[in-house]
Amino acid sequence: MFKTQKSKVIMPNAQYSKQFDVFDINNIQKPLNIIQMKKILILLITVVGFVINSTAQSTATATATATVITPITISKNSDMSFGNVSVQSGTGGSVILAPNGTRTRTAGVTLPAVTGSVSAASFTVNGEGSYTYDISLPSTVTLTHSGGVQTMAANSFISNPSGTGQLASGSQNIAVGATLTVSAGQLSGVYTSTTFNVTVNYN
Amino acid sequence: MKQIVSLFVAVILMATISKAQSKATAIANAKIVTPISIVKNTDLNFGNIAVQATTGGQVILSPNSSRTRTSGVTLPAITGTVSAAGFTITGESNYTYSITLPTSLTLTHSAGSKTMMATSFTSNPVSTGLLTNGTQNITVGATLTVSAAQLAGVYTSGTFDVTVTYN
Repeated sequence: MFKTQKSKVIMPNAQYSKQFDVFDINNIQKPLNIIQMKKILILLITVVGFVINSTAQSTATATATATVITPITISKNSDMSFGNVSVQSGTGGSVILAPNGTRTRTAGVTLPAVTGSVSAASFTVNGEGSYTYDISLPSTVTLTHSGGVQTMAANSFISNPSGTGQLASGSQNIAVGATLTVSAGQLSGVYTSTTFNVTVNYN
Repeated sequence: MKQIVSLFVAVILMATISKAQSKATAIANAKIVTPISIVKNTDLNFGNIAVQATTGGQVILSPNSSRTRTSGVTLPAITGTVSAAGFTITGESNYTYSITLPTSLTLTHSAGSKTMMATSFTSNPVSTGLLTNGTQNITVGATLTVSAAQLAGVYTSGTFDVTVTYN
């Protein structure tokens, strides 16, 4: 129908054929159909997708730090010695040796003027300056007569400082005392313990 | 016949208009998502550590900056500076992202030869974050392995990477 129609209307988007002087509807530039539009959309979305990917990741850096402190150590300076003790035949008692090396007595125990060697145990603790630490003492230590049979028990261990120490300048001395229980008629002689432990831990 | 031609022109014009509209829609879809970014707020710091002469151990620093210890390691009352690493993520609101942490990291004594290893990096949130209002803070902890009688002193790492990626 169009091929036989001469018209003065110039149609936009249409090619005009000079050769046949007619419109050829097949040459009209058609609007994009839905499939073509989808293709363009997909293309655009793909381009956008690349843009997103280029900004979808970010990295930050940090450092890690740790401080290992000077290990804590303890060394013995002097052993504990209760000195010379006498006891009544009918009544026992105890000797309380304070960390400062002084003695007190109870009940049937007396402390002769000839004291013998009397000393609290003494230790030096070393470690990181200004740090605090716990002091662990034994609960009971057994002292045995040189003859091997008779014994006495030392307990109620106490230290100065008590419980917790502090390494003001990386070092501290601690002294340890205890209470010795002496039975009535305790066999005379020298009584010695095996070693006991004093432990320090950073707290 | 004129009516038919007019109708035809109208159809073409309409089609042309609809074509223009499709282009406009495509351009609207080209909105670019806010780029994701991560910034460090705080470095990782295990604080002060003591270790026994004969037994090593570990310090586990959690993302909430609390520490636990194992075996021969003790944590002194004087803690020093203890902190998990902290970062701020910013990006498109309500987007989720994945968090990539290092697997291991070497800390070196200030004297240069002795080392310790940090491993088992963990973060809060774990693995995936959510940019609720376009931003989120994340914290990162790790586990430090300390050898028996580890030389006393300050140990520092080189930088390590924490990477975030949109899901």
